[in-house]
Amino acid sequence: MRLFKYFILQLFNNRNFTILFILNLSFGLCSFVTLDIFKSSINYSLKSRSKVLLGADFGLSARRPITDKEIESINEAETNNLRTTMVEIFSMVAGPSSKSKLVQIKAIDGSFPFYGEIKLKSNTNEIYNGSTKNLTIDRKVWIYPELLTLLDVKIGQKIKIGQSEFLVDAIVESDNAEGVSTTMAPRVYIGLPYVKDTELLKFGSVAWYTQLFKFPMLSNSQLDEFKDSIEKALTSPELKIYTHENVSEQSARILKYLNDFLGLVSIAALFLAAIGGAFLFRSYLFKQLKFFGVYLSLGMSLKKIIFNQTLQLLLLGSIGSILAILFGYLLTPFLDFFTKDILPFALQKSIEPKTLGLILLLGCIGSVLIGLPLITQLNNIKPSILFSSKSNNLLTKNAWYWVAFIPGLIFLWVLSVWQSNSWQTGTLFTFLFLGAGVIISVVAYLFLKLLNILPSSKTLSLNWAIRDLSRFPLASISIFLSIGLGMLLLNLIPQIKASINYELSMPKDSKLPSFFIFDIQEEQLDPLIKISKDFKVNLNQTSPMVRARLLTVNNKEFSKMKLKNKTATREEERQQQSRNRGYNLSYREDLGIGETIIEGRAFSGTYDESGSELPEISVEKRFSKRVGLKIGDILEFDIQGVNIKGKVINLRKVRWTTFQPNFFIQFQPGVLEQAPKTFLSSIPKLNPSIKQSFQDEVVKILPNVSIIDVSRLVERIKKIIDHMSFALQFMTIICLIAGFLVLFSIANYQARQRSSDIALLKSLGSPFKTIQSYFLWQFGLLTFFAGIFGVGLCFIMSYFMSKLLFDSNWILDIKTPALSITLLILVSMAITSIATSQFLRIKPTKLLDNQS
Amino acid sequence: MILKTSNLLKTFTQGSSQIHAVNNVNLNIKPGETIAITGKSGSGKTTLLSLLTGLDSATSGEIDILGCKITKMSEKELGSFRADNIGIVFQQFHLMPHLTALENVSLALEIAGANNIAEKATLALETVGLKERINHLPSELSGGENQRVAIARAIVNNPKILFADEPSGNLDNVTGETVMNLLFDLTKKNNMTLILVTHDQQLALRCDRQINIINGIIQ
Repeated sequence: MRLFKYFILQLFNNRNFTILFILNLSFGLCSFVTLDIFKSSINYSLKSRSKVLLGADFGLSARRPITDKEIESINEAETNNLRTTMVEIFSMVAGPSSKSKLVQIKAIDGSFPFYGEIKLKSNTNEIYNGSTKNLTIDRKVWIYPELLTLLDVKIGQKIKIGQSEFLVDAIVESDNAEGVSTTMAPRVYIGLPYVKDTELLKFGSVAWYTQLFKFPMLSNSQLDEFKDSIEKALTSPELKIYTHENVSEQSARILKYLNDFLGLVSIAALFLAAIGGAFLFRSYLFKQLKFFGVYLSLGMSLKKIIFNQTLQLLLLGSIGSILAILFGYLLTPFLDFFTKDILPFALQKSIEPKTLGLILLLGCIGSVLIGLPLITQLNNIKPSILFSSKSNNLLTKNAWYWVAFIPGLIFLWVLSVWQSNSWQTGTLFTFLFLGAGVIISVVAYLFLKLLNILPSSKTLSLNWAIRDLSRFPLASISIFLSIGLGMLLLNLIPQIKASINYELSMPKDSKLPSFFIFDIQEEQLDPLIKISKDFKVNLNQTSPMVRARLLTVNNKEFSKMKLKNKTATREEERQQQSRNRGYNLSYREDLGIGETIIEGRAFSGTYDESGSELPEISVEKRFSKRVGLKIGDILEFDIQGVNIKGKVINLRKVRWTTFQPNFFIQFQPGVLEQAPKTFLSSIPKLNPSIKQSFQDEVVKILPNVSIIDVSRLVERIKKIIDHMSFALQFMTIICLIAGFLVLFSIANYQARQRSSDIALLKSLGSPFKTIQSYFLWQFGLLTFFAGIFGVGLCFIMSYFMSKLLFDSNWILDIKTPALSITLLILVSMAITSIATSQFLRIKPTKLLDNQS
Repeated sequence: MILKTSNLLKTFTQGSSQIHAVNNVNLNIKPGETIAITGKSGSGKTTLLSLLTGLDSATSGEIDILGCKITKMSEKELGSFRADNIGIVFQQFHLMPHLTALENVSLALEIAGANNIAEKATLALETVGLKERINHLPSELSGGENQRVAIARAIVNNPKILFADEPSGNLDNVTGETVMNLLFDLTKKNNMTLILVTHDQQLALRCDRQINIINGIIQ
């Protein structure tokens, strides 16, 4: 360690390298820091509000009333408790002028909430804490403010919910129980005793029955144990059992997926920084070889040199990490931009000590891995290096050089899996990213070869630039790769967004419906058809829906899945969600809109009860993967106490973006017709002038039918996509800055290395402008073609992603690529000018210095 | 006169004191003449060369080359003047490491805006005896060969004056002598003026005139 001071001095003497390497690393890492602060701030904000979010410590929910026996189980397990009952229903409400809107009705008793409060605003704009007891003694409602205009209602007027009228008592000013908002249905609070009057709780209605508990004697960890014991006691798959912390985690689910993708973009930034870092370190190491020769000649062992060189990298990594934490923290104010419409509360910025440690670790490991392949080459150095004038050729690439890349690749893969919380996504990302990297590098190589055979231009500086690009292949390919990948990522998100937005924007040829209708009782079908006929439209894809529980698969019990720990992957989470739900079954003979059979055969027609065959079942492809179903599996369902078996005969692909009634599991006709059911349907595109009156008419005649205005839903989805893509693009811009830093580092390094060449050109009579243009041409050409290729690759990737992942048509968005390439050229020109300016002013007398 | 200087002065500031690296130098050099500038290390001979080639600017005084006052020229004019009229050979060769011998020589022609670049560069390399090595990179050539490429680059534009700064300083005796023979032959053959900076007295004696410089002053 005593000798390390010489290696520190070495860094001081190579300040240019030291500064650029640290900056590269810190930019590569700062997106990780911002993201981690984002994650921990959301977790902290939600966790600190988890009790008020639920309004209780613990809850039980189901799509049926919670039984007395189930409540008794809780009472037996923990006698010291307080309980409140709640029913949540999605339903239409109508204002005094018959204007209607889908809302989320929360029917509560006087004990709700145990934690937090609902702040109300009166007629006189007075803000006060609402007492839920008031709702239980009179037929009153508290409504969310947006309903004032949507229903054209005022405080003191009445609104119609189902079959009953309620007086608007107050406006909800702030609601602690509001979590991460992705729903488009504003909330209405009513008293639990009056929910019966609405007659909304008919069979098959989309309603959740909840029992909430307060356990004054249980700590958070005891609550988790309590939950485990209750899950063992209450095994009904329809039952959701949760603690307040589960609710806060669940409410951040939409942000979890966003964070996963942001994490992957952060890795891209780190990867680009690694390219720049590796280039800088390589150049730096070559410069140090003579000194290593001196150390060796003085008796220092090679091991010590390698050890100290590694320590140097660790030191640079640590400084880079600390700077990254600083940069990352400075970027946190931007987080509010993309959470302001999703989170109903201000994000409390929090940085955990874990984050600091993690970034430090990432920086140190990352730096060492960047330098590892080159460090392995140091094994070849001999003291005789001092007698050689060609030190660059002394580091010959042996097998270890290539082997030393493997830890870096494994590191990239582990990071990807960790950030995406998914083996599948992480592995796919690693392969796609490396694949894109390899393709870009090969194209860069071919591009350089092509430049070599181009006829010479009349412009001298352009000629030199073209020639020299291929003479410095490592620098050229590094820049091409960094800029190409950066541009690919930067354009990929808007490109996919354009395709999804087009799909959602209801173009003229769109088959998207105007309304999606659910909770239709059998006897309401005819009146609904009549209303539709009055408005000269036909109901689309009217489908029966039967609630069922999956009991067995191939005669084996289909059990509820419990996640082993908090570090479950997204695949496990999805599998758990798919396995833990009651299922909605349907039946139809032919394929519906947006459905295609991709494996197996179509239904053979109506089920023949007299035959020996089992009824035929069709399963949605992705769902079959999550639950583990395949063609030939025999499924047994419990439908209102009647067990029905069926055999999977095909797997279907469903385009969910059609917003048509579609189901994961469908039976052939002739099996479920007698089962109790409700119906779903959609109304094709309506003229905007009659849309509202159609909805109001349905609510007037069939008040407990629920209607989703698809265009409003689409607007909501588009807004969320906008926020998400803003967040992703924000992260990608950091990624591109890392790419620009690579450009700066390489341009600066090349100009420094070639200062003698610049002086020579001057001594030969070349004007300053020609030399400056030469550098601008060189880096301008590289970034332009890298940008063009990155964008081209983005078109190809976005095409396949739109088709395969998002099931949407591919739309070419030319605006963003054009703008990004123009900006790229301008920025790269500016960067090249700044990076090279100090060396372009070199005096040609440098050539007469014999020490040069 | 092909080159004339009057009261040439170059001063450097070192701390609080001023050092006259070139002090009141007056030179008159005829066309075709070979001149050796000699002196000990630090005597100012390289500074004088940098002023004569226009690579550095004088503190005061005038330099007249081929009737042009280069001390009055802008950077741009100087560059153009050098490209057309002056050849320089450096001790460290200063070849572009990523360019072949042919490309290194072509560079001077390209900057001067010449025609038939490939032919002229090949001919220059042939003249210095490197016809077979034109496509080699400097790293693939010996020290003597590198210096011959540098000489080819310096003469390819047929300059009127050739400046050489210790051209054999980085070479062994035998190679150095070969290179110097080549340089003298070429200047004689092309009737060029040669201004040679050297500390080698034997070499200096081969020139028509020797100028000894001590502390920036011509003796």
